Amino acid sequence: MTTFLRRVAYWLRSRRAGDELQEELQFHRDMAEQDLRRDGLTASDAARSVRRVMGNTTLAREDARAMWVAPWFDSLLQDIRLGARSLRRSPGLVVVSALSLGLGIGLNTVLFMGLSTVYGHQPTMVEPERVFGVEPGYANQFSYPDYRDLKESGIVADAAGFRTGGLNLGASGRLTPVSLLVVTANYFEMLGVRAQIGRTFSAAEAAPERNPRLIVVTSGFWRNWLRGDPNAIGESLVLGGEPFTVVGVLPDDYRAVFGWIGPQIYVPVSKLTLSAVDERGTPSLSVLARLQPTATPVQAQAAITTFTASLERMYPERLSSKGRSVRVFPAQAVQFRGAEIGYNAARTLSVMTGALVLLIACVNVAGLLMARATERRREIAVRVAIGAGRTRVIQAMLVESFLLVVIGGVLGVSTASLVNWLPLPAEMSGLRDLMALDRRILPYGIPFVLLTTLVCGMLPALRATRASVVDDVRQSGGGATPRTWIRQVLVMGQLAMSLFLVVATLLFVRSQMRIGHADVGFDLEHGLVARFGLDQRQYGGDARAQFADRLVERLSHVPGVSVATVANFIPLGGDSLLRSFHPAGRTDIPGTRPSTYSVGTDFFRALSIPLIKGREFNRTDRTGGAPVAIVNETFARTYFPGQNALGQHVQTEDEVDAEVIGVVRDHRIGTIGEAPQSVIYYPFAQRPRTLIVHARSASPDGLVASLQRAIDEVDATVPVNVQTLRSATSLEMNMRRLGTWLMAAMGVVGLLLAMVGLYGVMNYVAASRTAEVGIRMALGASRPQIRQEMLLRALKMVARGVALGALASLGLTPLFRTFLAGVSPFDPVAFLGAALLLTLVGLAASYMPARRSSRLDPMRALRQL
Amino acid sequence: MGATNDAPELLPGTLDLLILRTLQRGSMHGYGIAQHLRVTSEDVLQVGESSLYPALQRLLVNGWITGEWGLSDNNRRARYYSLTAAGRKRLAVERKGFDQMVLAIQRVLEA
Repeated sequence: MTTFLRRVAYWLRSRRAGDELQEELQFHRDMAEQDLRRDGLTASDAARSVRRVMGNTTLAREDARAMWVAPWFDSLLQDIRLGARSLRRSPGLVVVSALSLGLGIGLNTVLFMGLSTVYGHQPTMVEPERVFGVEPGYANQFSYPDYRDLKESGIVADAAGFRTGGLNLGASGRLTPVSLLVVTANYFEMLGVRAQIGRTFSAAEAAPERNPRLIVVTSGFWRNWLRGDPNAIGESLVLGGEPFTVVGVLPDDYRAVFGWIGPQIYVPVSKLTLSAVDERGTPSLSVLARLQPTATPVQAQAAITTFTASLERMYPERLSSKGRSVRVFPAQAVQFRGAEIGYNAARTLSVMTGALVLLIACVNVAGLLMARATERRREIAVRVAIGAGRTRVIQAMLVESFLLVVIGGVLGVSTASLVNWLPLPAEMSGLRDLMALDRRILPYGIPFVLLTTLVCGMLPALRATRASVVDDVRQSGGGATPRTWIRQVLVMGQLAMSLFLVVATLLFVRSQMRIGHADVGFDLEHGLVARFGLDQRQYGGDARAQFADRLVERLSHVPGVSVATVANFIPLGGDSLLRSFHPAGRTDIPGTRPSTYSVGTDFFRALSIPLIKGREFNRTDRTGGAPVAIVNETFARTYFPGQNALGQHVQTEDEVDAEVIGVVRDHRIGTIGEAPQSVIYYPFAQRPRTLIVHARSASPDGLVASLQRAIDEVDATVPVNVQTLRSATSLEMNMRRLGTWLMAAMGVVGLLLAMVGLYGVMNYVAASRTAEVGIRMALGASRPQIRQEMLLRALKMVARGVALGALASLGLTPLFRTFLAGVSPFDPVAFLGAALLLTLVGLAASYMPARRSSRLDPMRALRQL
Repeated sequence: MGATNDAPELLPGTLDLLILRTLQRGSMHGYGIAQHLRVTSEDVLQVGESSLYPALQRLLVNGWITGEWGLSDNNRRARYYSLTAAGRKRLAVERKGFDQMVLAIQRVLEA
């Protein structure tokens, strides 16, 4: 290290060190001459003798310097100076490549930061390698009693549970929905997370039976809502109408296990926050377990499977796993759970499109550099002739492209800071906090710069230095047949790549348009929903049904509300489908397992879901009344093909036999793009479950607060979250909109870059054919003829590129089928549209060069020969 | 190494050793070192500047010697080199290595 410092010190005073060495050598020589003269030699003999003895002093000086500074370093600096000087003389090249690479590198830098934020997510916890997510066989969540038994069984060292939720923050009147995580009392202790300010709640103080009104908040929430005030600890916040005390603020670098759409508030599990806390039959918690020090995930899985099987024998009301085993997976994978396909496809798609855009940009720069190298063939040939090695010339050219790329990179990274203004939906704003632009961008930016340098510079450098020295020195410049075929091939590749980007963009846009007008099967625009967290003891069973009746009665009198009803789900609202089992005796139907829901009277009318046959539930369908059910079209078609579904009987594993009294039209339940699913609806009064009130109104937006007030009149103590149906179902729409925007950005950038590339090549072709055009015009070719011929030439290139791109796209678009709702990955409109667009853009880009070519003055062109 | 034609080639690395040994006697300028080597070797070792100065730079880079400008006997500016503590240690190491090497070569030659 000190050796290195000495080298740096030497390098900083290079010039003086050189002078000093020179002086030293001169002294040496003078002394030697003096000695020789003293021995009797003449002055000139002495000088000659000294020169002979001393050897090559220039070499000695260079060798001496090389001891300090590696020769490659000196030559690199020389090349940088030379490159910078020669680039200053070509501002056009610098501008075009800076813009191209700036866009390419900027886009990719943002993309990779985003990807590493999402996919490289490392949740904050102690010894993460020993923490695993656990899912029972019967669902993807445990019921609270099952979780408690697992934690106390000693099979795992510790276990904690969590469940996402949303509540309104603030007193009624001014409500803000916030996302929260309901966690078991030991959550932070199990993970080993400490608070930044205050403390996290302990397992003892937050035990569910104490109904703890404690919350821990993220530092983001603390800054936005609690003024970043250290004294905010102990303050009270009203959540869902209940006061909660803030006990701690999590560290700035805390990362939720749930991923970047992280909740802002952590509340302990209790009646207040998890209505199903006493229900062994209701899966309600995602569970994380810390394994015993010696246990492997496989052993743990076997042990927990045996354990849950014994629970099943003990508690008949518990859901059956039907012999399916417990699943154990790394805690980092929690965020992708159930959406792996979508996440993987999103990653493939973004890496692919990002790489394509950068590649298109690189081809532009490579094309320009190649043209430049052709113009400088003589200079290069001379350098080689006077002894520059090929590697040295390649180095010089790579340094030049490196300079270009650095300019582009600086521009791109600055552009990347625009990400801070990216319109992200509120649910995803957490992503912005995580990827705020700072020095962390460099590890992503620098590899792109280096890679791009090689991609852009290598081909031109190799080609330029391969040419025969003799030919090029002799050549008088101009007139030679231009070797443009490589550039033409590159541009075709560019066109093909941008065709793919445009096809993908159009597919996304078309899918978005379909979804925008998608018939989701119910009325999204005129609904309000109120999600309740009810105490099982206070509002269990019939009490819950009666409470629901009182609410419906009260809410239907709120001015502006036309229908009020209840259900245990919100379509497209992210409610997991918990009970999906074959009806009794119908295991013969493969694949489809119907979901079951509980809905109140007028539910289908409230959501404008058409009734096809039979009747809706009415007030006679109560406890004690005949068990009835309504099924949807898909169910009827799947289970009773060719028969009348009305009057048939259905029975799922955990329900009594019910008679089908109605058939309704299918509607979307999980995602907009999903295939129709079989559904059985039961009357809420006969099967009261999670309580969600649905209200229909012509203008729902203004009614949130009045609905909240009306609910408070019925019971002001129950936790409830009121929002419009539109906003309750908006996450998927927002994600899709964002995805479409990103894809469109890629498509537009790719298209623009390809246009620049085509323009550059056509310009070059036009310039190198000056003489030929001159001769032909002198021989009588007309201007339109010349222009047409040039355009035709461009069109040929475009057609080949488009054909190539279309073929490649056919292979690639199925990769992101997941994102396309109602549009085939081979959608002809998208393919034809992209081809047409690219052709038009290609013609536009070639028009100027073609026109210039046709406007040549033949005399001047001929003189250039 | 660029030794002069009529001088026998030095064993690789021995020039460094000889310079270090010479400087053990006290600080000296480059010409002085060359003179000393020539005189003490009775004109056998004639080290030219093309090998002497790179060697001196190498010793400087490694921190075994330091160079200070001073005045020569005839009142001219000259750079005087002297051993550092690290240089002394290095000399001991190289000397031992060299002795072993010579001994080994002798054994082979006399076998």
